[in-house]
Amino acid sequence: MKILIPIDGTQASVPVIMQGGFVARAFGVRPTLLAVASAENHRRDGEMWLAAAAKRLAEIKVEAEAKTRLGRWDAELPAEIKEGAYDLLVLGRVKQLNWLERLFGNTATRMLASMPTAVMFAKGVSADFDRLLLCESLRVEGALVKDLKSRFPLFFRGGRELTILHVMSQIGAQPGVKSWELRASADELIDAGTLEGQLMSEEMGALTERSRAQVRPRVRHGPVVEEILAEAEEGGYDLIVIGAHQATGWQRFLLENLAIRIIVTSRKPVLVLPRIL
Amino acid sequence: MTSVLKRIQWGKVGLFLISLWLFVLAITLMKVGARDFAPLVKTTFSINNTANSLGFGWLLAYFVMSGSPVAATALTFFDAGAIGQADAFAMITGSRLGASLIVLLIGVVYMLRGRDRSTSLGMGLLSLMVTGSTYLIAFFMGLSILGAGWLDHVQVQTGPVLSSVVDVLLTPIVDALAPWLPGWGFFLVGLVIIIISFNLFDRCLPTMAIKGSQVGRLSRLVYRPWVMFLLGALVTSISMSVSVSLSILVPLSNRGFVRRENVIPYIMGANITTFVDTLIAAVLLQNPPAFTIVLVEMLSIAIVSALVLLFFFSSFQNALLSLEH
Repeated sequence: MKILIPIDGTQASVPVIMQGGFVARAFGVRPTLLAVASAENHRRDGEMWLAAAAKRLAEIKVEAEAKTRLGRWDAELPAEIKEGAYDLLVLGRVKQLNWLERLFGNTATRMLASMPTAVMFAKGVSADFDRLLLCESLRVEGALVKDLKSRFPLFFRGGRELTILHVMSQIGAQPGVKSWELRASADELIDAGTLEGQLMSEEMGALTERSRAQVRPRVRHGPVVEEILAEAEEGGYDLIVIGAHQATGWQRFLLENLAIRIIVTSRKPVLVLPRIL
Repeated sequence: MTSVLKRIQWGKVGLFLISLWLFVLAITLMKVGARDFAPLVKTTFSINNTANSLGFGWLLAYFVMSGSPVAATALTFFDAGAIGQADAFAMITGSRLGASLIVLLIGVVYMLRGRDRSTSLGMGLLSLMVTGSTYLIAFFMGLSILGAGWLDHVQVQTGPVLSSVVDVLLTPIVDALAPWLPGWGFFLVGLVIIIISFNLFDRCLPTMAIKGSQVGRLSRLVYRPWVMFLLGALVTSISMSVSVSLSILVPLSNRGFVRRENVIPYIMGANITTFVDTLIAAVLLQNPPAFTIVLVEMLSIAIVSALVLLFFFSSFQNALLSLEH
């Protein structure tokens, strides 16, 4: 597994370095630290940042490789990801989008949508990954779980606890609509064989197959982003796992970018898996 | 061509034409009778200021169980000189506030019949809160726009064609009724006919029996607020009723569910184009300032909705959903 940790020498890089280091330690791999200098005469700055970052990682007993590239971040980072065939990119905070960016996106959201690799946002730092919250939209059945299993099989070993969360933010469109499902628990939905229940049941099967991880289903009722964040706080999870916003076709324009909203407002690390196209 | 003709539901087309004709007839009758109502409006009902007009429109909407007939009533009173421009505007706003409670009242009936409270009241509460919050802000904005006269020049001149059509088709009916009805009777008959015309119109909307996993899957997604806003505006520009537009969501989602995040902007969009029938009524009254009143109503609610969607939607949504919960 290959992990890329971009740094820029600012204080904001510290949680990125530490989170990337903890992930590398958990997977037993050497991460790559990347600094991008705008010009040759700034290369020395980049090397200083890399040395400082490597020292931090050494404190948690992680050895890292170091790389410097020359150019602009928005060009060099994707180029490095492509050349290095990384499995995971660790990034820091994403700023709140203004109204124009919410309508048309910005560089960060466009990069994220087209990123071929998984991205972990170091919102808060988790040293362990014992409790994971998988936020499954059930839109593309089982895609998140399958992707997580193929990219990060380590998460399914040992005594880890994985929670599959599905948020039902629905309301009955008319007073007469039968809607017991809108108050039901995950077990009730699974027992009744409803749409959500069946999908969660299939995902649990896929997760527990050849895996020692404990898996439990969970359903919450309320607005999607708010319920995911509430569950992450209340449940004491170490990592939130979500799928990236759909980047192509009509869905890119018409569907709300819930992923970026979770990334911006979460206080826990968020792992974003690219959409399977 | 033959297959196209066979697929057309001619019954519904006929129903539509009848409802349209009844609508035009109702406006004409209400226009004729409104003059006799003017003293009643000013003295008995005390609709002589903006606040009273707002309240009257609100209460009358409960009485007729719909906002559109009340909005048309406001325009006919204005046309008859019974109320001023600002009062007509207030009465139309009141009619929308009253109409938004009707969905909730239907929910209360379901609840009293034993259905679950949250299911029965959820959509009604949400609809009421969205409408109430946006309309109350738009109300003051609209009064300012009307008072400043910024849109006074935006009027529709109907011309001789419409006058001729009314003269040929409707004046004979009015003349035939004249010996049988007092002046104020025309207004009441017109009000009853307009309610019937809206009911008939609702029946001629195409029933959407869309089933299938593809549509059901689409209804599970969370759309961008502006997408649902435009959809609500588009659907209601045809249905001309917010409650009908909401009921259209039922067959679109297989189980009758709609995501909370989607329904709030949908209602916001619906609240703008629900005035299409009132706009048509203003044209039929051949009263250009009446058209301006409705236009200001639509514009002010559109501006408030756009500002909320662009800058405050998250906070707005969270506040409403907390109250609804």
